[in-house]
Amino acid sequence: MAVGTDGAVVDVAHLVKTYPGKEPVRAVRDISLRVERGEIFGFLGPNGAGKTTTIRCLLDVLRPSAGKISIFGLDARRDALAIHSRLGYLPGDVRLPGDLSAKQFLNRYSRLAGSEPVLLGRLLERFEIPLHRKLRAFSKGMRQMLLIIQAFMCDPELVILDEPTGGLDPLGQRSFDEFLLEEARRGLTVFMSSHILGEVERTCHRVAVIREGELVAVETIDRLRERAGQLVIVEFADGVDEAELRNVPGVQAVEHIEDGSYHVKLAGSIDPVIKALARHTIRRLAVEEAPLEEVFLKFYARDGKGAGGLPSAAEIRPE
Amino acid sequence: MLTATLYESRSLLAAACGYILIIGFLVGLLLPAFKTLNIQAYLTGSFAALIGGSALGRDTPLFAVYMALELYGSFFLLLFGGVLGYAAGASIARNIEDGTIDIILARPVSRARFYLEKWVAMLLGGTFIIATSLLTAFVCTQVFPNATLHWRWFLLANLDVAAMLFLVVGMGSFVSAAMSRGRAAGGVATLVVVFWYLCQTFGTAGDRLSFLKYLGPYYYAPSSQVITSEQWTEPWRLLVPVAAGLILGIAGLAYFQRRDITS
Repeated sequence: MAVGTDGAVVDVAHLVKTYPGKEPVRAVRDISLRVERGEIFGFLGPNGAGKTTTIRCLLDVLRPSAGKISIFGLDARRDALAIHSRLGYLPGDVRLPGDLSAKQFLNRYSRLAGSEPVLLGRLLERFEIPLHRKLRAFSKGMRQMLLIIQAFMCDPELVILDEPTGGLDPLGQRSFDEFLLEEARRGLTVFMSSHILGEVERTCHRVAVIREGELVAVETIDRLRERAGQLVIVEFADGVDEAELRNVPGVQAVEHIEDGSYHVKLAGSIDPVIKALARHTIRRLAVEEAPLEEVFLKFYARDGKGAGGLPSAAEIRPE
Repeated sequence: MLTATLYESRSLLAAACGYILIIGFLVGLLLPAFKTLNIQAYLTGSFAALIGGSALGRDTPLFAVYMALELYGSFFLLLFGGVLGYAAGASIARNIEDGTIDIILARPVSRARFYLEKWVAMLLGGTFIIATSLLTAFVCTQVFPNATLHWRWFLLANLDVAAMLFLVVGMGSFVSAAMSRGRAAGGVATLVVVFWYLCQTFGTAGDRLSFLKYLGPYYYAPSSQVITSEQWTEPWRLLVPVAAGLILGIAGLAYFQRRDITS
């Protein structure tokens, strides 16, 4: 299914969550975002930014101080049961009951879901876990796979995942990413918080970045890639004036590596750079996409200054 | 959730039931030795008064008297009420602490259903304890010679302890709904039971502290006295712990419905 063909599955409007106390903590400050049907939506931010608080508000485990949350067009609080019958959830921090076997655990939670675990067979093929072993004997990765299975087994329309691949080995991560993409193609909507930027880059269609309770960006991955720009590695056979490179339109930064060798960071079209380089004798030329990680980290930075031409938070608020 | 809650509390409940079995069988076994004791003098002694003993009925069987003193005195509240209080106190808070409540509430399970199933599970736990007492007493009367009971008074005494346990479960559920740490909530609920027990013992220890006995449930549900004196006076008093348990349970539900679930 194409992304966004049936409207928003998750619609958060001006969400505020303040934890009361002697010194009230404003964990989430006026967040608004929409997640479209069939979309894998990444929710990123440093520790303590408000990701889990937002997710727990979506689930009606925490009660928002202000704002409105709709899921499937229904009110997240008033219609919680109707919403939750169509939803799967993977918590980020849970201690599983060690005296249960994996099978008992899955039986217990599929009974609570009130629907058949129709995807269980497929999930068990992909995420192999010892079903009859007690959970206390599970490794961290196995426990995570079990949580993934319970989130997806009843074939939900929306899954909310709080750091889903923490503890998985690279093979497990890849397997999860593939599964997620397959399910999204079937129409599943995913709201996922993650610290693993590579995973976000591989799987998500769009990402939101939250910092200190405020949304600082909502962007498509493609747009972020554009924003990250490209890195041109060039080695000149003849001498070149560094200022000449800096003055080329689109060039953000020039770094002199060694004699005649430069790293040119650029945003936008590469054409002006190629034309400028063509005036010189080139010994070596390579063009790489700048890592997206750098963009995320700039959003994470406390001063919020997106070096390298990133726009300010005000410019990139969700429409 | 109901069966899961009972499963999670199985060790505590099994320990309580095991203890009842041991006491019952010990009383049955030692019955011949008890016959040489002056039970009337014992009952009017200060210690027996503290735990809820009272004057002996005209033909109260000796086995019933010792069951009353060793099992159905205010000890019942302290031991089995304490165990049940701990289990009830921990029942919800444990799920909050370990984070499994998030998975449960992300299913089509309302907070009210979650709370009520926990409550009912703990009431069932209390029922197991009482059923074990009755079963132990019944088996003892079949196994040990001269171990006889007047079942009418014995069943009424069990009605009294049921009322006390109902209060304990209501209180424990309230504590659990308000807290987020399993052991701490269980500990608080147990402390409340201990306080009630102390109210009974200090309240009967002297006139100056007699007001204390009104604070504990034993005054309203004097199970031991019903067996020993073979009288059930002012049965309306039983409504006090029942009503208090109900009010605390409903207050816990109301609070749990509103609260943020934070660990």
